[in-house]
Order: sequence, then structure tokens, then C-alpha cells
Amino acid sequence: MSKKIIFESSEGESFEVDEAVALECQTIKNMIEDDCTDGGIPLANVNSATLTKVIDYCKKHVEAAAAAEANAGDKDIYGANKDIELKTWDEEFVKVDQPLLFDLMLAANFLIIPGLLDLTCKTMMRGKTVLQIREIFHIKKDYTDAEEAEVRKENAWAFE
Amino acid sequence: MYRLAQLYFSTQGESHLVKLKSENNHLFSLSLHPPSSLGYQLLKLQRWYIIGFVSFSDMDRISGLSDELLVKILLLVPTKVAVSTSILSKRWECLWMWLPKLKYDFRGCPEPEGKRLLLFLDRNLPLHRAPVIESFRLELYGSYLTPENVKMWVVIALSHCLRELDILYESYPPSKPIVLPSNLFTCKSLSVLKLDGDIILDVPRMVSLPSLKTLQLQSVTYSKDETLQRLLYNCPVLEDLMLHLRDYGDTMQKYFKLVDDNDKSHYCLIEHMPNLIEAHLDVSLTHIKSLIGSITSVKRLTICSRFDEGFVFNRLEHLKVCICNDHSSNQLFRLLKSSSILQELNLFSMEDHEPQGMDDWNEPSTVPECLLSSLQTLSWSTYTGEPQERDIVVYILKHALHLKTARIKSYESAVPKFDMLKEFVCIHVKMDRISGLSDELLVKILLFVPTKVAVSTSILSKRWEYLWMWLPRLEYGHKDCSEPESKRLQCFLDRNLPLHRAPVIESFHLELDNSVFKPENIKMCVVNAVYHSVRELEIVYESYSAKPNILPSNLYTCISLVILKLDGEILLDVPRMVSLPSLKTMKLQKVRYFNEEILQQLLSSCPVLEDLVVDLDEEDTTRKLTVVVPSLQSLSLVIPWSNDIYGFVMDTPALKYFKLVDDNQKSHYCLIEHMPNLIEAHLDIAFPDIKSLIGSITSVKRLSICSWAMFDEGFVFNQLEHLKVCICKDHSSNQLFRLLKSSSILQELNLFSMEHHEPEAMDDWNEPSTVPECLLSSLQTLSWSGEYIGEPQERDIVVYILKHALHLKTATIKSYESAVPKFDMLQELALSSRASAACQLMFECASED
Repeated sequence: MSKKIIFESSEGESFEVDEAVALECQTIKNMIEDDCTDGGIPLANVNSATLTKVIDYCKKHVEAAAAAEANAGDKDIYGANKDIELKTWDEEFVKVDQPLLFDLMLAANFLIIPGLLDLTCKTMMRGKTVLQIREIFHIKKDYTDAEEAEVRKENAWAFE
Repeated sequence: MYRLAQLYFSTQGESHLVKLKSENNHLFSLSLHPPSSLGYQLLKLQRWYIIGFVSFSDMDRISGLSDELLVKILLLVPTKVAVSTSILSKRWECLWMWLPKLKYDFRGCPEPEGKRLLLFLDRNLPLHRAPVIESFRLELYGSYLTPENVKMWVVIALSHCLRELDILYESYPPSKPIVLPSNLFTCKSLSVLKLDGDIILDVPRMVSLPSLKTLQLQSVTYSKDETLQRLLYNCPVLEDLMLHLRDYGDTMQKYFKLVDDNDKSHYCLIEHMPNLIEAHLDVSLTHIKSLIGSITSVKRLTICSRFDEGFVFNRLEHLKVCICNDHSSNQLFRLLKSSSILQELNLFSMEDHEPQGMDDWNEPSTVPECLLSSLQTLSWSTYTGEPQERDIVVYILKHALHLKTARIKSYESAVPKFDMLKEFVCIHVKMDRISGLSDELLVKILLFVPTKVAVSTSILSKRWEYLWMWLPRLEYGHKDCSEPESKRLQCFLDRNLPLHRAPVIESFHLELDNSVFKPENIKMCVVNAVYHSVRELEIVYESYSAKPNILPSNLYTCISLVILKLDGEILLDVPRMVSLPSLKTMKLQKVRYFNEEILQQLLSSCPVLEDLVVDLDEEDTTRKLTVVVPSLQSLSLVIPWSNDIYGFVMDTPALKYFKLVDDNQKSHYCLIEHMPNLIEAHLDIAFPDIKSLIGSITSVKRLSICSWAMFDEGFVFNQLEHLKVCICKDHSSNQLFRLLKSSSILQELNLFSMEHHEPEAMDDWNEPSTVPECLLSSLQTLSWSGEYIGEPQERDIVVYILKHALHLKTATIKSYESAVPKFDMLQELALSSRASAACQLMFECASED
């Protein structure tokens, strides 16, 4: 039986995960190495909904890594072993609403999960125009009209 | 014996004059002329120097001096003479490149010499070695000079922590004004800037010159009215300002705005501006006589400054006075006295000016003329009701005979605004969470969108304006870029790339397909990428111009470069000193080589190169390809049929992957050293003698092959496990069996057609007398992935292998739909005898499109 690590979300809810899954987070890995994980790890800035998703992600990737290891023999000489299935899973995983995606990204940034951080960052603005970006993220214009015109002129190439 | 104390150097007409002064004041002089034999003259100078310095010996003691000292000596001679010392000996070759002061003069030289100087600068300036260029002076004149050349030189000088820039430019008609690079205006080290001539100042939004102390602008053109103001506003330590405005032709200065917060005394040499209509002055200078004297022609004046009596503004109609100073009230009355036809007076505070209490003012002994005759409007936009303020208004009201309106604006600080504010805040329930993220995270998000979208986020808000400038990966242009788009891209890159903020550009990708980009424009981009320690550079360039030289010479000495990919009509011209210590991957597709040796010279300077692709253009005239790279692991050479190549020389002992596509059918030699580590090879060759080539690749595990020449028996591929044979030739079947015989441990055999190879009918083949070893012992997989069409020759091969391959596990035959109706053909194979009982026979059918 592998060792368990307990996370505590911002709402105070406890989540028990295998150590191997927790090790996907660089921040937690450092804590485990320093041996200060007894009595659970409180994550004051990660809510339960986000934490559930984060744990799902880590679990999936631990499993996928284990499976890839088992099939290591199939690699060709370049070591290329594209895991299409995992990529598809990732794509599905980030089909969530904007606030949750945002929370996921912040959690990945805080817990240092490079794969999840890349994945969420990639999804954040993908395929959007600047107008959509303003709309989705509620970014308020603080330029005067003259200033905006000037910025548009300096970067005219990007606004055709 | 004398010890040298001082050395003078002067140029008088054609000759150079050297004076040496010893410690006990003995003076030697020597004149050097004519300049044509400068090398010799310098030798003479060298001897004189030694005489002065140590002894009368003829020995070359000077070359033994430290670099530092020699550079100091070179500093005393004109830059041109310093450069000419490179021919003295190898010791001297690159010494001048350490010169911290450079001065190039195009004005004094005839056109051929000027053109040589231009080429010289283009090639050598990017390679300059001095970490700091203290001063860079250019005196420019000549029709052959393009603004792009000058711009690039300035960019390069700036990258060497430039302290002083001095450009004198006499434009050669028709006028080709120089636009200075945008990073000039963010140069931290620049302390002196002197510009004179047909130069356009186009100051970007982001400007900061924290060290600029001296600014002299003569006859330059300002791109916008507020250009000069923006520039001066961002020079916090400016001490010495000289503005000489152009006052002729259509560039008449009509508006002048000066903001200068520095209160140290500095002199202003401002020529009179007789056409000036409007001026805005925000200066804290104490001596501003010269400044005020030159703007007396204005109709409109906005001012926050000291002001002396004695000037007459005889056209001034509209006056705005900032009343932030204690002396503002007295100032105001001096101004009123000088402005006899004033119609409108506005009292206000300039932006960011904190009003201090005004001193009591002395009621003037005589009422200013304008109050009695012309003043019609008085307005006060920040009235607080202090007694001094009240006194001024009262005085004007009392004396201004023609006043029509007096408007006093004030702030209602007493109004309870709290409830209103609260209501206002509630409207913004939708929070902008993203703008609160760290720069780092935002840049990471921007990394995943196309560069163009990332740039467009600059208009979101001020928080976003410069975020994209931290992007470490940049991708510009695409194949189908329209001409107007290219034009915009060119302007954009020209302006913004020098200002890019990311310390390291990890990858820079530029794809261009039309002539809007001049070679100089692209060169400039690459120069900037190199300054940002570019790791990966990829350029795709289709040019229609005759000068495809788009790579600056410092690209060839770029320490950080790991990946270089060039595709298109790009000229490779390598300088003498070339060094690419980090380059691991180089892909050269259809590029032009300056001469036969260039590629070899380049390769010999890449000590860690692992991956090389050389794809020659159809018009290429390279005759000999030499690849000697001990570190190389992967090599791909593509030679088109039209290239009459003589041969290859290859010495690549570490090679693991080798691809050779050589469509030329003429005989040529292959001097290829054995490659014991080779794992995979792909050969598509048409030349007749392939012995040497095949002999050097026998260690492969994987091989794909298509050869016009017949493969000689006698080679042994004792590690070959995977073999792909192209069956497009008439002799392919016989070729195949020779290969099978040589490969005793083969596991997988694939029969296919290489891309663009049209299969011809195969000859009948002679069934081998003995069954190849691999069929009996090792072959497990057979696949036919080219179009199996069921010709007898094809069938015979499959039948033979099925019949003899003892350990065959799968045989897969792929065919096109149209061939499938030949059901019999398939049945024929299915029913043929199989040596391996476990063998599965599979048919796959591909649709034809």
C-alpha cells in the first residue's frame, strides 16, 4: 500500500491521494522531501472544485507515465512515442468554463505542475481575437482615445 | 634615449602629421604621406614610436605591447589609419576592432572610396569587439548611402553601450532622410547625442534616456508636434541642450513645446524662429533669455517658467500661464506688460504641477497696455480663493476695459460624494482577474497565441501595452502575406524589434515572400535578434531583388545560436572570423553560397554541430561538397539533377543518420570516411559508382534505398534489421535480392515507392540459386506498400518470399482500389505455399486520392 497524502481545500474539505500522484506537484514534492506533510497540506488558495480537477489531472498523468514505461520497448530509435490518447484526454480535461480554467491555471502555477500550467495557459486565449479577449476577461480600457490611436498606429501590423 | 610623454597626431590635407614629445620636452615630428602607402608609413611611425618610447632599436617592440596599450595608441590616429594597421601582421589584424571611439567620414572622400567604406561598415561593424563604444561619429554624404545602412550602424553602435552619438548628414538630392532606430530612445548609456541634418526624429511611446546630458539637434525634422516634448520630458539629467530649428521651406516650425524639469543651469542655443505660432514652455531654467528671445513671434503661448522683462510679444493673442509657483503672480504681470495685443488670458495649473502658495504681489505702477486695449476673456481653471488669487482677479476686473467674460472655475470639495461613488463601484461587478496576474504568467499565456494576436493585446489597457515585448518566441509573416500587410509588418518590425524587452529571444521566425522587405530590413531584424541572444533563427525568404544578402556578419559569431534554418535566396557570405560555438542544428535549403569554400568554412566553425541539412538550389553551381564535422550525428544532402556536382568529401565519424538524395546521373567521386556509428541511411541516388558510398554505410540497422546503379555483391550489412527498397526501377527486383543476400539478420522488409518516383515495369528476375540467409533465419515481416498491381514480376517476388521465409509472421500487401478487382491475383497469393505456418497474409486497400 503506497503512502497517502492529504490535501485540504480552501473550504476545509480533505482529499486523500497517493503519494505518487501528489509528487506531480513540484511544490508538494519539495514538502514531502522536507518531510513536512504530516497532518495534511492546507491549500488556502485552491477551492474544492479546482482541487478535484487538479487531482484528476495528476492521477491520469501518473497512470499514463506508468503505462508508457511498460511499453517502452515499442519506441523507435528516436524515442518518439506520441501518446495521442493522453493528448485527447488533456483536450477534454480543459473544456471547462472560464472561471474554473482560471482557477486551474492559478493552482497549477502555485503547485508547480508544468504540464497543467502549459495546458491551461494554452487554452486561455487560444483562437481568440483581441476583442473577444477584452470581452471574456472584462479588461477595461484605460487609454484615452488619442492614446489608443497612437498604440494602434505603433503596432499597426497587428490590427489589420 | 628619450621617454615618450605625449604623442600628437593630426591630419593636414593629404598627409598625416605625427608629433612625439618626450619627457624632457624634446619634440620629434614626422609627416606621413601620401595615404596610399599607409602600411609602410605606419611602420615608419612604429619606429619613431619606439625611438621615443624606449630605444633606438629596429626591433619590433611595439607588437609585444599589451592589447590595451596598443588600442590606446590606435585611438590617437584617425579610425581609417587604425583600421589599416590590420595588414601589419596577424597580431594587428583585429586590434582595431577594440577601438572604443569610431569616426567615419563619408564627406571627405570621393564616391568609390565612400562605397568601399559602406561595404566595410556593413561587414565589420557587426563584428566590432569593444564592449563599450564611447563615441560613434558619422559624417555622411553620398547618393549610394541608404537610410537603412545608417540605421543598422546606429543599432550596432547602440548595442555596445554607446555613450556618444554624433551624426552629421547632408542628404544628397533627392532627399533621403534618415530615420533613427527606435532603441536609440531607450538607450541607458547614451550621454551625448548630436544630430545635424536630414534626420527624422520619430520618438516611440516608450522613451527613456536616463544618462543623456547633452543634446544637440540641428536642422532635424520632428515626426510629430509632440516629438521634441516627449523626448525632453524623458531626459531627467539633461544639462546641455541646443536646438537649431529648421526655418525654411515647408518644414517651417510653427509649434514649439519644451518641457525641462532640470533646474541646473544649461545653455540653450536656439536660433530665432520667425514663423513660430504656438509655444509651450515648461522649464525650470534660470537663464532663459535665449529661449524666450527666440519665440517672441508666437500667437499662442503656454508657459510655466521664469520670465525676464524686456521682451515684446507683439503678436501674442492667447496666453496661458501656469500659476504653480510662488513667483507666478509677478511673472504674470511681466508677461502682461510684454503682450500689448493680448485677447485671452487663462490661468491654470499644468498637469502634474502642484500649486504652491503664491507670494504677495506688487501691484504694477502702470496698468499693462493689453488690459486697457485688448483683453476680452479671462478664465481661471483652478481657483482656490486664496487672497493672492483674489487680488489678481480683482485687479484685472478693475482695469480691463474691454473684458467680455471672466470665468472662474473651482472645486466643490464640500459636496458629499460618498453615496454616489458607492453606486458607481457597484456597476463593475464583472472583475478583470486576468490583468492582476503576474507579468510572467501573462507572457506565458501570450506565448500560446500567434505573435500577431499577442501584439494586438497591447490595446487592451496600459497594463498590456508592453507585455508582448517580453515574448521570448516570435513568429512573423507567412507565405501568403499580401503586399500591404508586408509593408505594415516591415514598419512594425523596424520600430518595435529594437525595443524588444525579453533579454533572450528563444526563437525568431520570419517568413517573407515578396519584395517589400529590402535586404537591409531583414538584416536589421537579424541584428536585433542576435543582440537578444537568439537561440533559434529561421528565415524563409523568397526575394525578387538582385541583392539577397540579408544576413549580418555578426550572425556568424553568435554565441547563443543553437538552431539556424535558412530557406530561400539567402546569400551565405562568411567573414574571416566565424564562430558558432553552440550551433547544433543547421538547415540550409536553396540558399546561395558566396563561393565554393563558404559551406566548408562555416562547418569548420561549428564544433558541436549535430544535425545538418544541405538542400542545393537548382541553379546552384557548387561542384564539391565537403562535410568534415566530427560531432555530426545527422546529415541530409539533397542535390538536384541540374547540379553537375563533381563529388563529395565526407568525414563524419559520429554520424547516426545519413540521407542522400542525389539526382545527378553523371559520375562523381565519393570520398566518404567510414561511419561506424551509422544507424539509419536513406539513399536516393542516380550516379553510377556507388561502391565507396555503400562501403561506408554497412553498419546501418535501417536502410531505405533507391539507386540507379546496381548494388555490388560482396558487401555485408551485418546489423541491418529494417530494409526499405524502392521498386521504381526496372532492375529493382534483382537489386532487392542482392540486398537480401547481404543482410543476414534482416527482420523487416518493405517494398515501396519513394516520393515522386514513378514506378517502371520491373525486369524479369533470376531466381537466386541459393535462398538468402535472412529468409531462412530472421525475416519476420514483409510489407508491400508501394502500389502492388499484381504484375507477374511482383507476384513472383512475393511468392518466392512466402515460400522460403521460415519465420515470417506477417505479410501485408497494399494496393489501390482500382487494382483490387483482380481478385484472382489476390487469391493466387493467398493460396501460394508458405514456409512459415504462422504467417498471416493481409491485404490493404487504399483509395486512390
